[in-house]
Amino acid sequence: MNHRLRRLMVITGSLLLAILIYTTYMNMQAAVRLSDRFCRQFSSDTNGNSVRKKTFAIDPQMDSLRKEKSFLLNRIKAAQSDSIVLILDLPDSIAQLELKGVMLYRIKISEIHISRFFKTLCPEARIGLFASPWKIDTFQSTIPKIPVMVKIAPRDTSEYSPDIAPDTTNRDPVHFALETEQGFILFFNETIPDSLPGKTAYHTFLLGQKWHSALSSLKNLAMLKPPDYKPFIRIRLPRRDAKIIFRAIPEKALVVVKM
Amino acid sequence: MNNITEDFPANSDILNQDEKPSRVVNRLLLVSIPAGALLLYLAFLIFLIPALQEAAFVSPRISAPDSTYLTSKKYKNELKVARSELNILQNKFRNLTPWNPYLVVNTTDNRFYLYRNRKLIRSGVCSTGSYTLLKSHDKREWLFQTPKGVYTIQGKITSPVWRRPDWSFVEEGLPIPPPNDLSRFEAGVLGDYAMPIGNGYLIHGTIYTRFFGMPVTHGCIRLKDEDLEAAYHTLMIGSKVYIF
Repeated sequence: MNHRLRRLMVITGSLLLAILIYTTYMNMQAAVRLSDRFCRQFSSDTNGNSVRKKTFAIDPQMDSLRKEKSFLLNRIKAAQSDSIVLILDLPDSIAQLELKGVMLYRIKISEIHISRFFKTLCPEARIGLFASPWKIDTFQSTIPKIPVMVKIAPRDTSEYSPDIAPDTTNRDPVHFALETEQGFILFFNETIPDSLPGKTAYHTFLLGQKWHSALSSLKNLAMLKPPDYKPFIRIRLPRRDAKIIFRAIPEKALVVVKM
Repeated sequence: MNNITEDFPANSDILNQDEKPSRVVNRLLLVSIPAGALLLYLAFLIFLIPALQEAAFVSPRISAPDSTYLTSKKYKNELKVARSELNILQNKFRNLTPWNPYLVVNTTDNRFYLYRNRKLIRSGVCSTGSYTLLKSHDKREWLFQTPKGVYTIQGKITSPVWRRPDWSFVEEGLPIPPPNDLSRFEAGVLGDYAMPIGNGYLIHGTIYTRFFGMPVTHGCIRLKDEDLEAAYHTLMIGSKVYIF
């Protein structure tokens, strides 16, 4: 190994280490700052005391009543809209579609993974965040929202062929991500099938999501800005149910969450 | 000594031949070290950063309220008020579901659910919109989609006659007849009953029974004869139809 090469390795190594430290610090700060921001936003403490230094006295009985009340209030509020609403009752592992307060479809969630952001929020922020339904801002998915098939009309009866039975087999993997206006991401993934294409589709979607977020982080870091941190809830459910939810809810759907 | 000088040119050739691949390796390393570092950084950003961010959160300090407060009359009163408020809300929410009969239609799975007195009394397969976008040669378009939302039964028709819309002729490559031409009217194709839900959409029967459970209609909801009869006799004018 010549001298030039050794020098390059040392420079690259040190540079990489410095960038890794900077990236780690900025990303961790972004996460903590977001949590602090929400705590401050919903805090009743007007003296500016740090939320992390505070001790919260919580009565579990009253807390559970308050959560239930907030959940019901949100469902009543969401029922006033003309759209289909997604209800996520995470403690009971239930996802439900409701329209005008009427239950349309109920699903047992197979697996839930919640970002520690939600679990470690200060109690006031936890109440505040769930005080009104979340609104979906954008979404990404592996299947189209409306599966439109284009058909060109025949010029005359000789070109006409009667419709054949459509292919209704659920072959396409169903994974989608809904981003709320507050910047929370709700991931819905079908339970991973044992097949290789199923696993590949899941990991490709996951990697795509991570790549997207890494790229946005990178952009901010390059401009010496703190990167975005997006708290998430990951829900795994059968493919058929995931498809029903995705196709049923409007693009700017309301989501009511109980945590 | 002579031997050495004689050997030298030959040895030098060997050295040059050895140097060539090492130079190539050096050049490769010059490129691959920064590229490897970049890849390592991206992998770190994609896989490790999310985990580190998750680890960054610290749980808030939470304690139980003062035991004297928990046994106080004030607390018990607060608990009582909270419970009664919750009961009121639960009743209010429950009342959003009608006691009157209603129909729920799942357009993704092509299934229907008929309710009476808030209880499911019948369910089964149906057919809904095919999501076909029909394009005519004169640039007209129709999307055959069952609309989602809440609708109302607006009428109840026995032995309905289908008035074929323009798209029905366009779809078969036929010329479009005048609005009230006899060729537009077909009896028997909609089954024994039809219930309009607004905007031209109907709940009706069909002669194409092999397509049940599939998205094949032009937007209407097709039910099997026996299901249609049950729905017709259960639902009233004004009953709600929830489509999702």
